[in-house]
Amino acid sequence: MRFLVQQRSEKASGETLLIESNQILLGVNSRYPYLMPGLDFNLAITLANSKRLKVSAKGGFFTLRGKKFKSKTLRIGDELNAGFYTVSTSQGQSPDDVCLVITRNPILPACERSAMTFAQTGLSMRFWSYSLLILMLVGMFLLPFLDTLGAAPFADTSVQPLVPTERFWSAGPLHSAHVTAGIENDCKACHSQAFEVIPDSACLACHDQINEHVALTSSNSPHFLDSSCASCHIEHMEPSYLVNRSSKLCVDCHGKLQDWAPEMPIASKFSAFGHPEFRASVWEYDAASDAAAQWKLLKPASGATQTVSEQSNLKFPHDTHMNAEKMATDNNGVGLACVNCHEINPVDGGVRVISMETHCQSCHELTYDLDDPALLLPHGPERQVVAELESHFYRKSRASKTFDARERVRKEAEHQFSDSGCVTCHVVKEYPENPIENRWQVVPVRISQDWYPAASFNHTAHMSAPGISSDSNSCIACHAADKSHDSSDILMPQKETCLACHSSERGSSANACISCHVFHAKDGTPSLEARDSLRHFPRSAVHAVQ
Amino acid sequence: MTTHQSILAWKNYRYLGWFLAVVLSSSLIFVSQFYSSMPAWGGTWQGYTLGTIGAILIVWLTLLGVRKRRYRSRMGTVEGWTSAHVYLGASVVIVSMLHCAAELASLNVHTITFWLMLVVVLSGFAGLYAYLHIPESMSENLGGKFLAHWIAELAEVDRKLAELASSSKAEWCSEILSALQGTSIGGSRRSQLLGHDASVLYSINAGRLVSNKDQAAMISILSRRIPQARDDELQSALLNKAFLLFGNRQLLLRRIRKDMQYKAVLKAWLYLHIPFTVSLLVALSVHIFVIFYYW
Repeated sequence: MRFLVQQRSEKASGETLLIESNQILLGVNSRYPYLMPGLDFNLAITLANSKRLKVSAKGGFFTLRGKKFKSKTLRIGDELNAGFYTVSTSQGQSPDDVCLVITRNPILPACERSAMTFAQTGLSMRFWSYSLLILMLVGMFLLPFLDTLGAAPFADTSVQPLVPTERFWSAGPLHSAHVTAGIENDCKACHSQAFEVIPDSACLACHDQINEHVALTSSNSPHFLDSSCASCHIEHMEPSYLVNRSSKLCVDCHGKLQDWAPEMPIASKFSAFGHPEFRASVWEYDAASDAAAQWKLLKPASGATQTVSEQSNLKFPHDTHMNAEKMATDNNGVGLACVNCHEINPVDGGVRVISMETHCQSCHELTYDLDDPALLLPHGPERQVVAELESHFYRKSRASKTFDARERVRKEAEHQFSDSGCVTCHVVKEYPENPIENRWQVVPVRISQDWYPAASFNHTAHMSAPGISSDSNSCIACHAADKSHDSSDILMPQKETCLACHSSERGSSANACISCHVFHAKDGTPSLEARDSLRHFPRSAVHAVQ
Repeated sequence: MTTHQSILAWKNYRYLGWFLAVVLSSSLIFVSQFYSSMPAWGGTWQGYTLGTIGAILIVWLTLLGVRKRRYRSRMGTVEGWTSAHVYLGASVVIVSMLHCAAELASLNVHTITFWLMLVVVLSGFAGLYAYLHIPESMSENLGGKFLAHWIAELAEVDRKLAELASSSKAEWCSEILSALQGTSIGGSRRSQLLGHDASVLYSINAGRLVSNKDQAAMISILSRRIPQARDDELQSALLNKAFLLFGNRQLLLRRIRKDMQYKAVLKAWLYLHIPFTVSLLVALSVHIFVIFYYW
């Protein structure tokens, strides 16, 4: 087995070297029989069989028909390139001879061997631009659009996180209330028609208990004609926010009422001059009217200076009840605390209704027979009281012939109604000409549950403020009950009390109108649907309704 | 008077004035929202106005690509257009930030449009920096000649060295040839941008490839060989010649590599600027479509 090796260059051919071996080592290693100067690795060419050679590169690679190899079996007759050398193999004259012609090619200039510009690296601006363009069209438009059309694959929840769905078109987060309601993935729940603003009906489909702020048919209604739910309630905001708390929305109308609703007070902001004086609403008793119309809610007109007083027909001196010396509850020498009667509802911060049975009777026991203190008069109609007295004393008279039941009933009834029973707390009218069961009339009592019904106030929230506790001192800071001797006193603070903390001028929190007032009042006017339908008609139609 | 005026200072900073006008008027429009009952966002009339200004600006800015190629157009000069492009391009960042009132926390077609715009403008700033600083250094580096001149000169030096190698001792020949073969310029985009030199040569002493960065290894080998060949006059002369040629080669390679790097920097930002502009136009169209789709 012989290798016949000849080196050639551009200019000349070298002499042929004869090597008798099955393997020939070529390269830069000076111990090798054949050197290829400038090659930066070594090649070993081994005869595999009579037709094939195995070539391996140590420390580099060779190329065969344009492909790189570290090791490869090739046919005799193939041509490989190593560095700037070309090695051609061929069969010699004798079948045992393999001829290798090693040609040293000119070394390519470095500038031609590798990329010198971005374009030569195969980065095509156009390709890159078109790829991005297609990615954008598919990802940002096509896939979400197919989703809006209800394409089937998008309904699969396992597919949804993987592809851009319609949610990718959402401009921002939904309010948590809407997320919880499960409409986050259902754009059409609100966006029912493409290229159309969200109709109020989309909101009312769920929020069917919402009341309109004013009646559509009132004189002010056209002012609301151009508003929709979405005028104030904006979704997809960052951070998420659903209720527009801006007082400017209210002041738009309530700041210039003189133009169209002169009877309403003007409010521009919550400050000493921007908000009208607080006006208490009280129940007015009209004894002359029949029972159904006896009570009327009275609210002084805007700008009225007269002092309003409560007409509850109940006698109740707050100062006495709070006086520790006069009050000997449980003989402990401590007066009543406010919360003993005025219980705060922790849920809404409101005050629970006071009742005789719960709050008064433990002290004001309706006993009437010292011999039998367990017996109590009913806290009810006058005739029931007289009937109770009669039935008790007539029964008692059966045991004693000297006992004058009739006289005892008369005396006790007189005592209760005009001396120290009912009359302690109630206003009692006496009609001496009437028989005993109709002789006295207790004037009906109606205590204002809320003097400021148009505003909401959360006692619980305010009692969490520093320095405020649930003791009476904290209460009388706003409600001057300790100095009130008459139940006609309205123990409500004026706005100055609130302004000490809340004031637009001070930049403090909770100065927005809706901090205290609601827009969609519980007893508002349910005319949204009518407005929604009217919006599609010319304005003249509205005036016709009026 | 200078013959070359910075595109920033074009016509006595005309477009800086335009920039300030756009930014100031947009800010006034934005601030007017503070006096309305609505919060600041893209859906107020101010938001729509700012969005319209931004969209018109973006479409106009892309027209520079068209104007640049219309060599016979007399609609302003390309320098003027470029100056306006730079200033108004910068204003788009502010206009669109005001348009969306910085509501950019979620990831959706709308915010992506903004981020794409930001990539385009920031890459534009990189390009502006390159165009302001590189051309002068570039012509200085080329010494007033074309790159082809230096490449031809390098080829000539390489040819002489290859010829010289054939006449030298085998091991020296091997090293010289492998240094020629191992010289690398450019290659990957990263190498082009960094002017990376990955040249190698096969060192006979070490018996392996060694770095020939800046041709330093070859020059050092030659400088060690020259004293050794003192006795052989022919080889000594060849080595001296090779030493000179490699010194020359070092300078040529530095020049060529630097030029390549400059060109890469001048080009690289465009690979962000142009494709992202195309995708910005798509995103902007989708953004506007979706806004009206969910009107």
